Amino acid sequence: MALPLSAQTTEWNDSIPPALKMDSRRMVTVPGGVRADILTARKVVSPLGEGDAIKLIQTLPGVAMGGDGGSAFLVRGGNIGSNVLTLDGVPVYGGSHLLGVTSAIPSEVVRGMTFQAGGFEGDRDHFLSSQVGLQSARPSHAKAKAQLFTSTFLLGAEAEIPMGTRAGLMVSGRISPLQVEYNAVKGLMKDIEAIKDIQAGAYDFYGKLFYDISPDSQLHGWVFGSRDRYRFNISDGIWLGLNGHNLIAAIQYHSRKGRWTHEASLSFNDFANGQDLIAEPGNSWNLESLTMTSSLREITLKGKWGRSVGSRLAIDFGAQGKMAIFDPMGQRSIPLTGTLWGQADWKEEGRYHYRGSLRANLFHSGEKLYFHPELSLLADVHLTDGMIATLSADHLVQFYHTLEGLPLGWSMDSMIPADASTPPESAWQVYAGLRDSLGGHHFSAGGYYKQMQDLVHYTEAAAAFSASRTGWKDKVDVGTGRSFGMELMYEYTGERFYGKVAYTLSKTTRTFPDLNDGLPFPAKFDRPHILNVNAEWSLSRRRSLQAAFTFQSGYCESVQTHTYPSILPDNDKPWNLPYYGKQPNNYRMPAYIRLDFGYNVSWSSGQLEHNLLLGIYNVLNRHNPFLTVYDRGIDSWVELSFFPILPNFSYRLSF
Amino acid sequence: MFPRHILTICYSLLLLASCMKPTTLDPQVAPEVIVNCVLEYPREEQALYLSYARSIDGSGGEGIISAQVTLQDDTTGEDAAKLRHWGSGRWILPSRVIPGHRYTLRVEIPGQPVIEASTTIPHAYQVRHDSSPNTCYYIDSLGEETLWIYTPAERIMTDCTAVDPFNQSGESYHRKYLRIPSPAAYEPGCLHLYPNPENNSEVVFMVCSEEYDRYLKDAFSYQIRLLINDVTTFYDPSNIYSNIRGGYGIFGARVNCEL
Repeated sequence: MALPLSAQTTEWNDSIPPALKMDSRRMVTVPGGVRADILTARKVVSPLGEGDAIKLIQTLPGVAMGGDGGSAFLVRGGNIGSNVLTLDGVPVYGGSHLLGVTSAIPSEVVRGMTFQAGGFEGDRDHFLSSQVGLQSARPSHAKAKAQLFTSTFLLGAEAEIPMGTRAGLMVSGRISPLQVEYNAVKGLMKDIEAIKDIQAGAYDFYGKLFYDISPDSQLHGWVFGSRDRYRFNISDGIWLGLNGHNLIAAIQYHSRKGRWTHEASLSFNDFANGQDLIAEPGNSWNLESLTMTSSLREITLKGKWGRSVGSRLAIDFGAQGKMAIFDPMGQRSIPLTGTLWGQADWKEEGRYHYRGSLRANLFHSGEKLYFHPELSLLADVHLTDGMIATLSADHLVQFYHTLEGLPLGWSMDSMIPADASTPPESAWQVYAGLRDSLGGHHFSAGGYYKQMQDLVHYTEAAAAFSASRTGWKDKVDVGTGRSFGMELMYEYTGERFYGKVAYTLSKTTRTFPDLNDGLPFPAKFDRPHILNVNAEWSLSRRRSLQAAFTFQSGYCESVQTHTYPSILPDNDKPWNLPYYGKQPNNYRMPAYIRLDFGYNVSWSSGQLEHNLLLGIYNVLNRHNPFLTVYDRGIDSWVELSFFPILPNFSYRLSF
Repeated sequence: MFPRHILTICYSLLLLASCMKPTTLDPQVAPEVIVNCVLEYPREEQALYLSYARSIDGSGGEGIISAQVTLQDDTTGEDAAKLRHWGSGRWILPSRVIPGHRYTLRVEIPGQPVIEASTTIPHAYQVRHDSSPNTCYYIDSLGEETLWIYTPAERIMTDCTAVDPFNQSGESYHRKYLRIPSPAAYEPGCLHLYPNPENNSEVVFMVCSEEYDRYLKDAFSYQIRLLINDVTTFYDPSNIYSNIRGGYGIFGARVNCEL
C-alpha cells in the first residue's frame, strides 16, 4: 500500500528555490505565496477546457477575479495591472489569448508556477501586488518526446529533442482554429446585429535550447512569440481590427561553484497591440482607414550572485538594468530603470525563516530622475511542530502604469511609463497569519492591510479602442487606494480526495481628488466576500473528477442615476448628458456564483499516452452579470452576461 | 467612427450565446442641482440655466426659479452682480465680461447647500484670413487656453499637426469640431481648414477656459459613442467633467470669433 500522500516529500530543485512539496496534488506554501506544478493548474476547469496558472490563482484567498472567464485578477486590493506575469523571470506583458480566455503561454512548456503576494524576494520585477512566476520545463537529455494536443479553441504540438548528452531542444506551437470553427457554425448562430463577418486568428510558439556547459553550469536560450488578430465586418466595406503580439527572446546562464551561485540574463521584450479600421473605397459609412498602435519594447540585463554562509545564512545580491521604448498612441518615451538589490535569508529548517530584501531603484523618465527604494521583510516562525506564524511587510514601487480597459485580462491594455504627471505607484502592505497542519488537514488564516499611492485611474476604460485613447493623458487621474482583509484557507489531502476551501473577507477603496469630493469610494472590484471551493476525487490512478464552486460578491458599477442638459457652443438643441452620481461605483451588482465540473482520464495504447479533460463550465447556467445597460427600447436596465453553461474539452497525446 | 462597435464586437465574439435580461437598479440618489453657465466674450448678456437633474425615466428636471444667483469679478473685487430670473430656470445678467478676469458664481437655493464655481475668461485674440482658394487663417495673440474650431458641416480637416485626435473619424477628418490644445505653441503662420461638405464652410473660432474645454471634450466623446449605440458606453462610466461645488454642471467661459 502506498504511503498517504501527505507523508510523501519531494525536494524541488532546478532553478526554483527549494521548498518541500507535501504531496502530488496540493499546492505548496512558500514564504509569501504558493507554488504548484502545471498539472495542478491544468485541472482547473476553464471555459476552454484546460486550466492555467491564472485560473488556479483565481481560486486562492486574497484574489478577486475581474470579468467572467477572463484572465484578470486582483490581489489584496490592487489593480489588475498591479500584477506581473513572468516566464523564467522575464515579464510577459501580453499574457493571454482569445480575449483573455486562456493563457498565451502553452502549459506544455511550463513546469511549475509560483505566486507571491508578500514577503518578496529581491530578485523580481516591479509591481504593487503580486508576481506570477512561470518556470519553463527543461528539455529532456535522454529521450525524444512529443505531444499533440487540442482543446475547444486551440490545437498544437510540442517536441523535446535531445542533442547529444549535454544539450536539448524544446519546441512548441499552437494555433487557434477559431476561423474554421466560426465558418462551420456561423449559419447556426443567432444574428449579431453589429457583425456581418469575422476573421480570427491566434497562434503562439516557443523554442528553448538548453546546454550543460558543465555539471554545475547551464546556458539556455529561448524565444516566445504570440499573436492575436481579429477582424470584424460591421458594415459594407468596413472592417474593424484588433491585433496584439508578444515577442520575447532571452539568454540565461546559471552556475553553481561551491557555496556560490551565479545567474545572468539578457532579454528582449516586444509587446504591441493595435486597432485598425479598414475602409474600402465607397464604403457605406463614407469612412477612411485608420490605424492606431501602442507598443512597448524593452531590453533587460540582469546579474545575480548568491552565497551560503554557514548552514543557516544565505546572501543574494544583484543588479538589473532596463531600457524601454514606450509608444502609446504615438507618444513615444524612453525610460531607463536601474536596480541594485540585496537579500539575506536566515533559516533553520523546522524552526524559523527570516528574510529581508532591499532594492534601490533609479528610474529616469521625462527628463526626471526618481529614486525609489523597496523593502521586504518576512518572518516564518514555527510555533509548534506544525504551526507556523508568518509576518511580512513590503514597500513596493511600480514604474509602469497600465491604462486598464475591460477587466478580462487580455492583452489590449496600454502601458505607459511613470512621469511627472503620473508618478511611480507605490504601496505599503503588512500581512500576519498562522498556518497549521494536522494529518491531511491544512489550515491557514491571516490578515493584511495595504495602502497604495499614486494609483492611476483611466477614466476612458470603455473607450480603450477609440481615437480618444490618443488623448489618454487627459483621462488619467492619480489617487490612492486602501485595502484590508482576512484570508482563510483549508485544505484536505487524502488518499483519494483533495479539497480546498478559500475565503476572503475584505474592503477596498479608492480616493481621487477630483471624484466624490475627494472622499473614499469602493473600488470597482471591491468584493467583500470571496469563497472558492475546489475538490478532486481520484477514481483510480488514471481517472479523477473535479468540482469547483465560486461565490464572489458582485463588483461595483457606476449606475446612471439622472440626466442633465448640455450647454454647447453650436446652438444646437441641448442633449442629455448622463449623471452617475457623485460617488463612483455606486451600485453593487448581484453576486457572482459559478459551479464547474471536470473529468480527467488518462490511458495508454502501446507507446502512446492519452489524456482527456472533459468539463462543464457554469453548470448552474447562472447568468452572472458583466455590465448593465439602460435599454431605452424597453425602458429598463438590462444585465449583460457572457458565459452560459459551456461544455468543453482538451485532449493530449504523448509519445 | 472607427472604434465604436469594437468592444461590442469583442463581447459578441465571446458570447455568441450571451444573455441580456432586464433588471432593476435603484441606487437611490437624490437629484442634484444642475448649473449650466458659460460666460461669453464679447457677448453683452450672460445666461445661466438652473434646474434639477432629470430622472433616468425622464421625469423631473424642472427649472429652478427661486434662488439668489450672483456673479463676482474676483480680479477687480467689485460687488457681486445679481442675475435675474428670465423664466423656466433661465437667469441672465446684462453685462459684458472682461478677458483675463476671474469670476466666481454663487447660487443660493432655499433648503440646499450653497453652490459655487469659478472660471477665468480666456484672453482676447484675433483671427484674420485671406481670400485665396484655400483660405488661409491667421490667429494672433493666442494665450495658453485651448482653441476650438466649429463647423456646421459634418466633418472638418486641417493641416494643423497639433489637433487633438479625440473625435477623429478617419485618417484626416474630425467630427464637426477641431480641438487644438496650447495653440500658442503652434505657429503655422497659416492654418487651412477643410469642412466637408464644402458648401457648408462657415467656421467659428472659440478659445475656451480650462473648465469648459474639459467639459466639451468629455461631452463630445460621450456623444460620439452614444450616436453609434456602443453598448460599452456604459462600462465603467465616468461623469462628464464638472467644476460646480455643491451641485453639478459647468461654469466656464469662451471667447468667440465668428467669420
